Amino acid sequence: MTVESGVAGARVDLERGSGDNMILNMGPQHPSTHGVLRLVIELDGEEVRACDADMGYLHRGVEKLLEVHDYRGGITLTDRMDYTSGPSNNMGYLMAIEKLMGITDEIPLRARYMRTAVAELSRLAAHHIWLGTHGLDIGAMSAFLWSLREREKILYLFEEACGARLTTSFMRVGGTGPHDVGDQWLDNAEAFLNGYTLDEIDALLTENEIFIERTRDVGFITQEQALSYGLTGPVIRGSGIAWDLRKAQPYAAYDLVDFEVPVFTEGDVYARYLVRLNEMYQSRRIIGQCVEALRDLPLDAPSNVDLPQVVPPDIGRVPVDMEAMINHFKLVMHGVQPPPGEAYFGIENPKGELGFYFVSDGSGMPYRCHVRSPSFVNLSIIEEISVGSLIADVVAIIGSVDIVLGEVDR
Amino acid sequence: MLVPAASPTLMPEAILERIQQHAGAAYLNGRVDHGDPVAEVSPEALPDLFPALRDDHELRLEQLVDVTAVHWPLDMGREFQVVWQFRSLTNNLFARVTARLADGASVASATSTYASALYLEREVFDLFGIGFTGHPNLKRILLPEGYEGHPLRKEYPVEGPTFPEDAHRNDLVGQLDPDDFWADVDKANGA
Repeated sequence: MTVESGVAGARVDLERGSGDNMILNMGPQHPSTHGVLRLVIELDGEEVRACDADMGYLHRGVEKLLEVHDYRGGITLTDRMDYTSGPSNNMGYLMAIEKLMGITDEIPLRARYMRTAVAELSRLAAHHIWLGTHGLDIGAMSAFLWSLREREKILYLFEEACGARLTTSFMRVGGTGPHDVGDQWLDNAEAFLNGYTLDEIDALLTENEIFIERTRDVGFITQEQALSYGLTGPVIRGSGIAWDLRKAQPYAAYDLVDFEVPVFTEGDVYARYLVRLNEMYQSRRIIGQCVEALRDLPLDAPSNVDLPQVVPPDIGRVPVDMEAMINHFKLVMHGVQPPPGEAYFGIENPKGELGFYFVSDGSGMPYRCHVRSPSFVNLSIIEEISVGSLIADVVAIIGSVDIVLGEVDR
Repeated sequence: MLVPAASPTLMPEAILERIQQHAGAAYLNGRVDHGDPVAEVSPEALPDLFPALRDDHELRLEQLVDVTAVHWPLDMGREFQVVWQFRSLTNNLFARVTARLADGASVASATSTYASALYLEREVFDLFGIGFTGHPNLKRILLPEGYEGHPLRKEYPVEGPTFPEDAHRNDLVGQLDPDDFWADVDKANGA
């Protein structure tokens, strides 16, 4: 498969100012740009001739800040990137550190199942926001209300497990940290799964004639474009490429659970809608299996690796046991110290491949940490595919690519 | 429909061998790091290397997943390490290519082969000040136009630049007596 030379879409020329074309500024305070994205669009009547995306309004310098936080402190920065799926971001960050330290294979089964369950719960939560706002952009108000109702129940589960709804800072290097869950949480998760239904939303949108009219044959992405633009996640699976890191390079407990990867070949907005909707059914399946597996594990199964240089000792032992006290002191003062080296690790986040690239100099703080954010890379296709479409379709396209500006700008 | 291979079709060592064949004399060294093949090449080989890696039938590195850089200010003459992460979806492969540059030097853009470089290279340019020759639209992306400096360089202060007009604020911080401050707070609260 050859890829056409990757030229950018036609660029808006503010200097041009001639002819009948109109330059339209959309955002950064526009409800359908999902945050603070600004688009400068050149219009010929209703038709888009060129589109320029302007971002950075939410840039907080996360990568610079990660260089001055120890590895533990960095966890709190990660859930502020893609704030619709905090625990999943935390997990990607932690697993990249574990790869850097070479302890990936030692993570106990209990922690692996918990991570999978929580990552899938956050995928559901993130997709519910997408589903609601995508419908809202196109004019289907009710889907938004049903959707956020279901998401609220997931946030309660997060709150019960770690005390926070959005900025979760879930788990620690080497396992679950202090966030192990008990039978009560498993009961609540099971109750949530039993009462969970997508059928209402499905019935509101999937067969809805207006919705189909607005989304079918709009925002077409070919396979070649999807590869060349580095797209990942549901966007690429809507263009007929069955790429999913959970299947291709399984991590956590994804090799132990049974699920399918929904793929649609049409490549339009409606195909991406169907991919995400079907993904939500699969997520529910995975969570169910994880909850069952967690129940079957013995109560005293470890949830953290048995390495004193990674996991702090039981706090009750610290005042009475000299060794535990030294261990605790070292970890608090110096933090986790991966050996010098570099590592890249990517996970399948709700938006696509979330990758962390670490360079360690052997100290307690990363020498460099780069975040490969899926929203940032996926956003670049908008400049290309919105050219030639109608202005109203740009809104549908933005919704279908599903970006979070906290992650685009970092 | 494109269905990826269930497991990688090549061992990391074999991937390095293929990269060495394409880069020729520009291939400096290669190693398998945490299971990933990492090749260091000299920057002049890059314009031909990008299309070669993509079109090689055994590799098929169709996606440029990530471009980033690392600043090593003490390593004179080769201060910047630019890092490209590639993936083959068809063959389920991963590879990393790195090149070292001097401060102020430019490197070939990958945009004519991979469109994902359009944004990723702009980000590196914005935050490190590394130029990419051949990029059609190389300008700042995250920071506003006209911003001075490149924040991810090591010499850039974490607290940000200090502006001359803010200098008096720093003076105030030094002169503030905490006792006076808390007395003011108490007064304001009517204590």
